[in-house]
Amino acid sequence: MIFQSVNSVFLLKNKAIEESIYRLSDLLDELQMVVRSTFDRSYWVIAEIVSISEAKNGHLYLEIAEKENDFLQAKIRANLWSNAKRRILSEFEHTTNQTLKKGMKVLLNVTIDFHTVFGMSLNILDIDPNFSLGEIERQKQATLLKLEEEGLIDFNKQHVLTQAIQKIAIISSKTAAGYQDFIKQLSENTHNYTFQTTLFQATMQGEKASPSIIQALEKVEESSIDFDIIILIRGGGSTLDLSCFDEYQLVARLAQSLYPIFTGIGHERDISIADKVAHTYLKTPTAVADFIITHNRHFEDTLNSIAEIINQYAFSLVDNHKEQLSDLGKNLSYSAQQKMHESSQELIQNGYNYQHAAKTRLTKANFRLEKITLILKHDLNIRLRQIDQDLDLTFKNIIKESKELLQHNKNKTEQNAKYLTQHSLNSLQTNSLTVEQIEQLINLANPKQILKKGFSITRLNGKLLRSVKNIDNKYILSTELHDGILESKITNTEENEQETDL
Amino acid sequence: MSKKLTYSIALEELENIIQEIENEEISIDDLSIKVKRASTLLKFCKEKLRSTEDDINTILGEIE
Repeated sequence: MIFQSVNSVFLLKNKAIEESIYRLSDLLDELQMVVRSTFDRSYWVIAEIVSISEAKNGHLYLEIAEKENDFLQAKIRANLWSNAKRRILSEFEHTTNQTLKKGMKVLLNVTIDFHTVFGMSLNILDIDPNFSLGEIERQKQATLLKLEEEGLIDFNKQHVLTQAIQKIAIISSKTAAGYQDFIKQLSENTHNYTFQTTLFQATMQGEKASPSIIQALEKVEESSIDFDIIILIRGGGSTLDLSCFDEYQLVARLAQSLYPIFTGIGHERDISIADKVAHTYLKTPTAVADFIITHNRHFEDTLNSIAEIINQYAFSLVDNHKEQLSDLGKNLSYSAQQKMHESSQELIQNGYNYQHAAKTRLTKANFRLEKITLILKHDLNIRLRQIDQDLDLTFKNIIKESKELLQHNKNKTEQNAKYLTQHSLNSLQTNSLTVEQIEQLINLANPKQILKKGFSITRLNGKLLRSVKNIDNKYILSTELHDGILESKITNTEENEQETDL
Repeated sequence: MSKKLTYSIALEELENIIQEIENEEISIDDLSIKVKRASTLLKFCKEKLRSTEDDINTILGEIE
């Protein structure tokens, strides 16, 4: 549209000029005129600062833009002239506690200008600090919400402080007044507590603060010293530009530190997000020092009360034991006497009892003995008489039996003598008879006698013949009879079926 | 005592001693040992609060 209107003006002029070629300055002069006449008032625009730089002459040159999802929708240069700068910036910083910087969303009152050399730009007439304040707050809330969702708000508060804080890592700048205040307050404590402080230097404000502090934090955690706490102390002086303590990256890292984080950043108005995620938040470095001293003092108080309690209990325990011992002593002597008395009484009583029992037993025993003696005497007399009688009887029996035995033996001897005489005579008679009989038997056995009886002896070739076996017919046999010898020839031989024994 | 003595350990031990005495778990025989131990711990804590690191090491050397 602008181009079209410029174009139409150009064409209108063109009619009056013969040649159609222009000098650039003429053309841009025309453009400047059109721009100034068309945009002849100021406008309020919302934009994000893309870059910002201050020239030697005191002017502030900015680049502002509009982005949608990180895509540039519009971009233009904007100038804050040195004459207006002082007023505008001081009001802005006073209200927002922040300096104008890159990435910030601002509401600007601008006029549009076209310069034939520097081109199109905006002149900043005013900046609305309340808009930025709201914007900052909105961003802060968004960061807080994110931290909350990630559970980081109270994360560092989970650290349990040591009983006495002594090893302290300080993240600050060496020359910072706040650091000096802290060291002074700490070392001049009235209880003579000692502390081991180690400074880790960092830039504490401005754009570089966030990465610088994170770096220092890493050094603390890598250190060989096992610190009790880390303290963030700001440099002091102006309270401007502490927006780094609201930056997500820094506060998220602080929250997850290995050690409890103490802040003494020194905000006047409201607390930063760094304060919110810290283990302990205090307004000033001096307040941090006081807190630590009080913490240690509290520990020493605890120690003292422990000492007191132990003392009291120990003494009362000893006293109790003394009393108990004394009571025990008394009880012991009383009990001992009592016991001895009882025992002696008992002994006497027992003595009586034993005497009586013994007497009774003795009387009884005596009585029994007498009784037994009487019975034994009686029994013995009876037994003796019996034995006497038995002996008499036995003696008589022996005499009688002896006589009988003698008589019997005498008879038997006589009998034996008679029998012996008789038997001898018989034996002689029997023997003479037998001799005659033997003579007869011998005669009977003589072959001559046998031959006389009709028996004969048959021989073959001079040998006695006893069998018909193996006898040939041609053999000549000789047969002896009692009165001579016959010779005969065999005509027939017949064997008996069964050999008969003679 | 091989473990390095810290405030927390010392305090815990002291509290245990108190509890033992309170509950009368300590016999009169052990009492002096316990009281002596308690006073050693108390002395350690108090001196450590006021000593430099070197001094602390000396104290630790005495106690451990």
